[in-house]
Amino acid sequence: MKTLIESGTLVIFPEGDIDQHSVGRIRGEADRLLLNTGIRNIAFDMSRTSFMDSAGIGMIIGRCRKVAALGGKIYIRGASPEVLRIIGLSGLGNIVNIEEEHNEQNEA
Amino acid sequence: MNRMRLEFLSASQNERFARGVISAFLLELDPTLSELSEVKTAVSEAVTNAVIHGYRGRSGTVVMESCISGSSVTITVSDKGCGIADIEQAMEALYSGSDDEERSGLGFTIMQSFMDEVEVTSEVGVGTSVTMRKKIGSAG
Repeated sequence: MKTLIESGTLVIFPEGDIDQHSVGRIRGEADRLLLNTGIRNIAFDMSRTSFMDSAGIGMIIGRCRKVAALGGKIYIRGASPEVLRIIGLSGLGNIVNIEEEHNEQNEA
Repeated sequence: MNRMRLEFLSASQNERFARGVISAFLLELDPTLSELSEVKTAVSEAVTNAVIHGYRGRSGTVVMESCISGSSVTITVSDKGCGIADIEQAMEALYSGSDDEERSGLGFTIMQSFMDEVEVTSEVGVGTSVTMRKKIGSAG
């Protein structure tokens, strides 16, 4: 799973499906990087995400709690209409920042 | 008119497998991308519930049955797991039957939003069955 650091933000590119089966790895990696880098903002770039269900929502909510305690923010980028739909349904859109325009400049 | 039945191990990697099967089965109704996504997500939630809550990580069999009639699809996901004591409570938005990890408690809410009807029957110690129906192509 691709990750990079850009302007004080941890950018994570979850690949494929985000469901209960795959979410543990994303959670683990995100938490490990938060701990090791001391960075407190996370951007999930969903341009490589083909599917997400409520397991992904739960994981993002968990990360929101962690970064909020550190004074950081969560961003969502490059999400497909389907992924945006479930984010909207969950109310997650009220606590994360959704960047609808995919910023191609930052793809390393 | 078409029908199918799939039985699989209550292992989390089969959440994606079940989504793949229902997607393939639904194709004959020529769903939009959005309709396909909705059905896949509802199935994913139901199967995940069976794996995580029904069997709680133990080995069991999850059954997914589906039938297509006209432009409607009916899908039933069932397990012989621990069952739900209070179905109403379980279906409350944000209620999570699990304390560990990060459960959003949104499974039933998603099923109800994405499908036209959702029916849950369950008996403690016997198992749970979730039946969902959706008319495809009604959005126009």
